[in-house]
Amino acid sequence: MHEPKQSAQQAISRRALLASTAGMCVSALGARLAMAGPPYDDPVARFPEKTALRLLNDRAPQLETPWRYFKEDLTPNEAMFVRWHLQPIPTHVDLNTWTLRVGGHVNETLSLSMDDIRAMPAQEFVAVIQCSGNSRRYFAPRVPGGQWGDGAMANVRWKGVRLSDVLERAGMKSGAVQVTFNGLDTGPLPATPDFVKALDVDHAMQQEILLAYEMNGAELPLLNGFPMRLIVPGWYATYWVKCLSEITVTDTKFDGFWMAKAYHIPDNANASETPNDLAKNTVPINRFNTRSFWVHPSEKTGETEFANGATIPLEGVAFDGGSGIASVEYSLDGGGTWQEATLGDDMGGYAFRRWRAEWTPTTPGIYQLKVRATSNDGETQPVDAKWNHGGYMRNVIETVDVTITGQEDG
Amino acid sequence: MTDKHPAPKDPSEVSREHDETERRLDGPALIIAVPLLLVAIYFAFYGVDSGRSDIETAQMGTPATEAGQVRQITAVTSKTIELPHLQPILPPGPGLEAVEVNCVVCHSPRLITDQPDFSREQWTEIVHKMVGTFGAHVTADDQDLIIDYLTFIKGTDTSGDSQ
Ligand code: HEC
Repeated sequence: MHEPKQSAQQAISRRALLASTAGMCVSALGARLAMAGPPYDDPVARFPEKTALRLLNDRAPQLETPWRYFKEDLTPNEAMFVRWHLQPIPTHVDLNTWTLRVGGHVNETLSLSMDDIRAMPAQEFVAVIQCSGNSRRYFAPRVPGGQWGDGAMANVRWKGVRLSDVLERAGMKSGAVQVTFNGLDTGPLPATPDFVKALDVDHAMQQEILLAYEMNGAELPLLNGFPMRLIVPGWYATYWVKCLSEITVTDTKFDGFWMAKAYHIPDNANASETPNDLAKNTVPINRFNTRSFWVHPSEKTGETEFANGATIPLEGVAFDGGSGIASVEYSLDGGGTWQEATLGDDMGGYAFRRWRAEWTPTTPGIYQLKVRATSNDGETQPVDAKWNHGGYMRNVIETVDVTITGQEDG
Repeated sequence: MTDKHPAPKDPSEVSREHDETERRLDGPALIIAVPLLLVAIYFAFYGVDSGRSDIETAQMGTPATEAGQVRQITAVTSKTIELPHLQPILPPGPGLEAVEVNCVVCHSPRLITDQPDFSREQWTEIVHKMVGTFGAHVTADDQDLIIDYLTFIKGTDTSGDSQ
């Protein structure tokens, strides 16, 4: 007899399993993790211009950022997650031939070289990029799609020109409805819908929408969209089209597959539904909800076991869809009581807000630590995980189980 | 009642097996985990393959001046990368051939092996999406074989009946 396999209903996240496991096991596991490093990152692979990243798929590449990189304020370019939809992906871009074409419902069709674009006024700011399916592997029951942990996000300083400057240069005709964005990737077969995304005109004209040619002071890695990628601060990364080559103003609502069918969420306040009662009305995914994470301690780096009496730095990051983080609270007793954490430097409303606190435990045992953020818009995080069949927008209060050992040496 | 075959290991899958082992948290598993962990550390440091990155960097030279204005010069004028081949081997099972013929054209079979277990109904939906939405050319007979195979290697059906 083989072991019964877990059903989708029974499938539970590692953290839920840990939370319900006897203390001895957690302690033994913690010791091994501290020795050996994080299983969270496995398997890993190296791709061009990237460091070893968690391998979700090799063709088209889907690679996740190992958790230890979130100890840094800006996520290094070589560690930023990679997510392509359609094979083949661009493997060669030459700026001598690349142009950004701007056309459709405009007065003047443009064909801009990188020199043309770099001659325009540059903008620079920090913004979080996050995949719609970040944390999908924690959905219960599990759902199809890239099985991301929490590392399909990055905090990056973007530099580029305003989309509105480019659109003004082309001159939108009256009656413009949407602006569509296409990159150099094409479908594997003619029947496969090309990856094209759209924004409403008034959103596209907002000052923070950027055509970025640099991240963290360097050109983008090709796998992250060299030579240019669309930046839509506060919105999920599905809109942040890579290897951008074509911008088209439309006078009707764009109805391509990747807008009309894919990346849809239930049309209700917390984008939730149940497997037996799927939402009838859906809308394209849009703005981030509020999230906060543990960077230390963390099961994902194997740092969960500490000696009694020693002071433990508590640290993490929080962000929302752009209003900025008003406060971060943490709990040392599984959500019974909450204390305010200290917020780090404000890098802008769209950036990670680092939070810190300290804790000196005085009794050995197993503790369930939790963190929740509240945005300036007053949004906070749910106690119970919401579910939708796409595996999108997870933002439940995050928990880490910590073992405090009796001896000072741990 | 048919036993499910364990997936054959490609190097990157070795460290995944550790991940699964660690989740079960039982005694023998932890003992097995130690050598697997050593393998995992190896791959964590060296990766399963190192893709060649071939970045042509252009001269960063003095910015050209035009009518007294400093013109910005792009530092990198072109990039060429070569993607590593890390395709996993699909585990044996009824219908494997149909999957190998029909399901690896547009993406790596890793997209299949990295999915969790699903019900037959869910796998049917996924295969229909490949055909109806993404334009995969798969005959009705092959679709049935593929659904059997997927349910066999990654089904939630605990009765062991893959029909
Ligand atoms: C015509 C191209 C094409 C073919 C052939 C194809 N697929 Fe796909 N498949 C796709 C695309 C496109 C995606 C979505 C990729 C993404 O979003 O990253 C996908 C995604 C998937 C996923 C991930 C789950 C999901 O819903 O996104 C699975 C599993 C999958 N395919 C299985 C199969 C199987 C099994 C076959 C053989 C019947 C197959 N594919 C054949 C194009 C194809």
